[in-house]
Amino acid sequence: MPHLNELDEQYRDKGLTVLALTSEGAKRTEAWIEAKGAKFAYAYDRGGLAKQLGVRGIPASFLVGPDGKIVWQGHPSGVNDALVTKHLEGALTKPLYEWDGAAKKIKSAFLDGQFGKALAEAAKLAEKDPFGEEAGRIVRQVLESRVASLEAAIEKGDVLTAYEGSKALAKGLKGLPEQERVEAITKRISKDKELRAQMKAQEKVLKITAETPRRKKECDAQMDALKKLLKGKEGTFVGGQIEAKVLELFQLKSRLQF
Amino acid sequence: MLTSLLLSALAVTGQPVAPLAADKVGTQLPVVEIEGLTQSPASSFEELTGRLVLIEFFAYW
Repeated sequence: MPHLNELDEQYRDKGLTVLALTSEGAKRTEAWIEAKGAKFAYAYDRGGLAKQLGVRGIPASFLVGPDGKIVWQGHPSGVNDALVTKHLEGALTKPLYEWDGAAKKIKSAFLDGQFGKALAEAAKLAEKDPFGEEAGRIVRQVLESRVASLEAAIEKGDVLTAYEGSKALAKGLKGLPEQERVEAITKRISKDKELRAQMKAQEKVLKITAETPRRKKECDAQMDALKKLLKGKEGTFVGGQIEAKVLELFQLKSRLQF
Repeated sequence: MLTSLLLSALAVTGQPVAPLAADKVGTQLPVVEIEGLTQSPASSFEELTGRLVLIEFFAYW
């Protein structure tokens, strides 16, 4: 991992944050970090981010842009200066945790999802400090990215993500033009029987697979329930989710002893 | 279609194969829940918002 130390040192002040994540235990990880002389930030992936990103082998790297969108993924050997500098544009050189004074109000509202309030505070700050403009720019960029991703979600059939995301995001958008876009998503879903049925099926998938099976019998039970749910949904987004889950359970079953 | 997917996975390797990792480029990073953020002035992943973040999944072994 020396490359991570180098990247961290070289690009930290230009907007890059290096973050290593592991799902292993702390004791051995801490010992390893010390032995390797790692100076970059690291943490424990307890929320299953690796699984959500479809990571099948370690090490694996993802480059996430300032707006929260994944801009590159691959083996760490693929991360080089050209890749990093290509995506540094627009990244905050002053991270949120260094925002002080009036900028703290912007940060607080921003992290709370109160985008309207954050932008108002940024505009106020911009009257006396150019940093207010940069802060406002980042808030706008992140907001646009989140709205666009919800619009993309509903177009590809991920109705549940679109619905829940829109409901959550709408709360902090009062008076902003994005409010209408986000409310249009929830309105569309509420009025469309087919979209609501797809969302219901997605909720059912989550319910069926809520507990990780510990026995082959439990894998079978979940697979059977999912296969029943799949009928008539082949080729849809939720159909793809069901098929992926069944494959996952099939592989898990092969690894279980009983 | 599902059965044939499983059967072909078995046929090729004799072992159930992992599906190809979905290409996530262009998608929004999911909500990140991490613990024990160390060697960082940030107190949470959210405080890294607005930065270009290089995430590397690793293990001590």
